[in-house]
Amino acid sequence: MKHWTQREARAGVTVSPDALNNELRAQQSSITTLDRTQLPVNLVDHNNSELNTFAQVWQNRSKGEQTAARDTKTLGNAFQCISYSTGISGWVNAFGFSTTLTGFKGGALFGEWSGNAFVNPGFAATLNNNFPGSPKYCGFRILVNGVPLVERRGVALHEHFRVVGVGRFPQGDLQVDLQIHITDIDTNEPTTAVAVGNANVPQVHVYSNRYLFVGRYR
Amino acid sequence: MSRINRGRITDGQDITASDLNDRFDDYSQAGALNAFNVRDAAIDLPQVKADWFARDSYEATLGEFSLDHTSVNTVTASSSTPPAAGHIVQDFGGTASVLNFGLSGVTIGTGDVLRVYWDLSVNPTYNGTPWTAIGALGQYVFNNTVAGTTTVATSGNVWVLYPQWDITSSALTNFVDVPGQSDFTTNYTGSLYGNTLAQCEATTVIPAWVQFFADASDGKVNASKLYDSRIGWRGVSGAWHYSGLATTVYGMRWIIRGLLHPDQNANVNYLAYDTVAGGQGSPNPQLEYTSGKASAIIMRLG
Repeated sequence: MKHWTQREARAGVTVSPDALNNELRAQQSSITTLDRTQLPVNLVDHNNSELNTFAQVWQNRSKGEQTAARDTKTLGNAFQCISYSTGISGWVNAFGFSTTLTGFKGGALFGEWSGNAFVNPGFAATLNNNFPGSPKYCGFRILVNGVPLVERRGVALHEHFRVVGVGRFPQGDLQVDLQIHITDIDTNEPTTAVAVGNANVPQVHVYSNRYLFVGRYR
Repeated sequence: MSRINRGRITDGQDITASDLNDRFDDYSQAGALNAFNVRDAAIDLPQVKADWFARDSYEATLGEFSLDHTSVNTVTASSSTPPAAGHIVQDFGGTASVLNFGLSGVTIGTGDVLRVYWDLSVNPTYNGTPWTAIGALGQYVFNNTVAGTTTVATSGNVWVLYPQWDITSSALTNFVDVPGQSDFTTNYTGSLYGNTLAQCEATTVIPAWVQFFADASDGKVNASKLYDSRIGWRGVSGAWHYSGLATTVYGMRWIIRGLLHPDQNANVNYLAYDTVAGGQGSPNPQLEYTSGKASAIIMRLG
């Protein structure tokens, strides 16, 4: 801690020019080179700090439905969504375009992606598939600049999901991709039902999508 | 860094009033302390007010705690058109569970974001096979392995849980659906009521049941190998964010409706009331629930 007083004037001492000069110089160097030990606590709030000094939030609660694939010939009592006729396999972007986190300053990035997912679970174990690895899942993954921020097995029913991850990234705009992964078709599984007209069986749909990212720069 | 530079007063020199005044003026001039004068990293967390990350946070209990489920609240599926009113999440005494933001409410400014999260312990129940009823949305018909057809469950039937907020007063008597969320009562075609998926921004869907079809062969269902299953007690969660026009929020509550099912009309996807399946069994399909939490965090966007 710097002290602002070089000479404390006391009663009866001789006054010299240095008594004034040294005191002023001490204050000059203190005032014009403030550091953290001299600034009071709770000095700074959002009203007197630069925008995004410490944290930054990007969010969109209206991301809507997945647009990776949409079969318009699904059964009438179903979503128009991913079916095995759409040829989706592996990890695919849930949406047709990436999201950019503009102005990321470098530091920790928290990300969450939530919504609802419909998964057709019925044909998890067909004939001669005695040891199915798992039910059918819709997996979720958040990529940031091509690096997985979080990857989860996901949900196997028609239910809500939320995936959360934290990572450290360098400064600069970040490209975010929200990806899904569906379980591939089983060889004995029907892809169409008994119906007049459109009869493709729906497999996966992701909707009510919302994301929120928080950059923490401290 | 800017520095004050004035020649020193030396021994034997007269000190006049202007000498002193000039020197004190040096230290009182406007702008003498500026960004350049503050040393690198001068601002640290102690200098920042504690609300720098989250301005406010709130929490409330939804429903009422019952570890062994000896007490539960029960919501019965709607079997009428238009569908019955939604059920307000409440404790065992019937008092609505409200996430209360106080007498003055909390103002979400244009530079703020309101993050709301919730969870609830639920148990969907049913009797018989509601999905097989004629006209139920929750059924598919597949060819079976003995040259006939078999009706199976889509496993798409759900209960929905979504928030409402009161942005009028702390009296909390004017709850409305939050932006991006509707109440599933739009009659979009024939006798079907529901929301477009674009109207489901704050919706949590809760599966009502699930059915597996073992030993399907060559694209045909084995009718003797249908295994329907109760979902059982589970925790469900949801989330919603608000940012936009400045709004003062006084409270939030949660609504349960059911049963609903995926549907489509004119190339638009819907979550629609399946009032046929909702009217099957004795009692009709129900959603039991006990307790959960609702929490809200208010942050600056930047």
